[in-house]
Amino acid sequence: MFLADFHIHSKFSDGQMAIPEIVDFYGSRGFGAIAITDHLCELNTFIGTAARYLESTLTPAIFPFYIEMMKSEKQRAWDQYKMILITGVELSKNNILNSRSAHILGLGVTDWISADDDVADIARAIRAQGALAIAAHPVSTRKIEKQTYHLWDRREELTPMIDAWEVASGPFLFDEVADSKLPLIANSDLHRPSQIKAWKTVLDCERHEGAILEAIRKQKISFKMYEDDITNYGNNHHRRSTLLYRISPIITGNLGAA
Amino acid sequence: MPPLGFFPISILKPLKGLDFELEANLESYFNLVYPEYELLFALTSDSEPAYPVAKKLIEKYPHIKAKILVNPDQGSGNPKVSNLLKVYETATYDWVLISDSNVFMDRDYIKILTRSVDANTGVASAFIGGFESQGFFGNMEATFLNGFYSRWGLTALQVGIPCVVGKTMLFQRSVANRFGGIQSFTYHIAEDFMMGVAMGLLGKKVVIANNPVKQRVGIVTRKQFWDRHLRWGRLRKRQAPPAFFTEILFQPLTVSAFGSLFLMLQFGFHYLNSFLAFVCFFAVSDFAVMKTVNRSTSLKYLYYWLVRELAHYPLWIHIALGNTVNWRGQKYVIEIGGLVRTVND
Repeated sequence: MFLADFHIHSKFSDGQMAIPEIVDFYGSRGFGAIAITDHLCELNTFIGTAARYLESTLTPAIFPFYIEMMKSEKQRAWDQYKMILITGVELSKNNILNSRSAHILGLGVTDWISADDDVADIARAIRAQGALAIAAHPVSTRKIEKQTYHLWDRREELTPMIDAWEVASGPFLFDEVADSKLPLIANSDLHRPSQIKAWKTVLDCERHEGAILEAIRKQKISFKMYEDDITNYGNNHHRRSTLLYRISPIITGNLGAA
Repeated sequence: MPPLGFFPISILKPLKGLDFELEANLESYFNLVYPEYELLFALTSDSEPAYPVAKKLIEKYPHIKAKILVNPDQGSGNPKVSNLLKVYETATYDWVLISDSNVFMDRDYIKILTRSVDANTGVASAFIGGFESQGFFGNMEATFLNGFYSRWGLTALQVGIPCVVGKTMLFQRSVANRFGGIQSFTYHIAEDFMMGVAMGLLGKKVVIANNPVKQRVGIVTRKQFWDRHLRWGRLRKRQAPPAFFTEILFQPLTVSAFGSLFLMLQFGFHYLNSFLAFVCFFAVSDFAVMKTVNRSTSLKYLYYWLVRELAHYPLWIHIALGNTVNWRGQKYVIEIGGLVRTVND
């Protein structure tokens, strides 16, 4: 049995840690699998353009570096910690209206996917790569922040295309998702080290990317609240100014989470 | 962190055409005071005019480990990166220094550069100083390098955003290979900017050496001058649009115009007197920067400074109006984020 976290942000979008730092951070805590899922925002909207200017999203120009860095860190994560690192993205459709905003995690995505398409097409494109489409924080996150309700509002239509729905994001459990009989997953949506104190997914399968994705698909998973006091960790892990850290989550739709 | 100390270096020199004082520039690399290094010259063809120059120097200094590698032009993407791919793969050492052909190295420059390198350094770079400029546009070029670019480079450094300058980039291949190596810059027009970004994303830092590298400017034609600054400007625009579109507000003449307007409206100061006072202040400040970069900067550069400041406005408008650039005989379109494609793609 091992702990896993499938929703983590790095400096490639609005996270505080570089990918190698994330690998060391989770690896040293004995996690068996993680997925780094940086924001991939729309290219053709005002909010997406702003995210691009604030360097809070993956772009076609930077995406190849992301994939290459993940490849090299994947090997190191295994060699050093016997931890599986999964390449992911968080396709982020942000609108001024919560009902039109949606974030979809693509676990195992290695090719560029446009976030400008409809959510159903995005989910299909994710699965066409053999990856998992996960509905990220689909209901109220219980925090004062930008919400993303679009997927939940269309859940009946989207159920065949979404592999799992986040039943917890950070330290909060979502009862309405838990009661929905939809396939579930729990993640931290980690942007900074202190957010490690969150619900995690527990797996009991081979430490292999294919086996892990299959376990999520078949729902052979459970959830656990992870407690770890690291209040003082990461004070030196700032790429951008504090001000920019305060602004960029607004753009990427993670005000409270970031 | 303490400096790493000595480490062997492969110096990669992309050559194209015949730069001003090319032989003297290249020869400076054969006379470096550094315990262990090799020189690798990258050319796209053995019919390049720089080929016999490099060959002659290799024969003249047989005790220096040096060779020429020809890598035919692929005809697309960043021509400098494309030219470098073969020497990058062939380099003996992990630490590589990419240094442009128009750079003149002082004998102890590598020592100065390596002094700034520690275990967490991703890439070490240096500002450019324009030296030995000739003619009107040559002097304008030197003023651009020693004034405008140094001013903004120093400002960026002070606010904690050091800019990598492609004329000098020292880094480890083993580290760069973690994001795909220089091959991943093939379709980026600003490989230096991307090197800084990628190293930062890897958690490594960019360091700037204390001394600028010397670029021998020589004679520059009007077209060469305009094309180069149009290219660099459009590159800035596509890489960092907010910075480009606000830079016009921070130009000395703009600040002088609005500053004196404010003083006139708020305190009743005489507009023209205030304006002249502002301009003098900026001219003296920039002159001090230019003098620091190149000690031989004379007072005549105050004239070039004023012309350059005035020329910045039409140049900025020209930059803003398009996304194509001419570089090494090829026309390119710069996409958002600095991706580049040839016009006939």
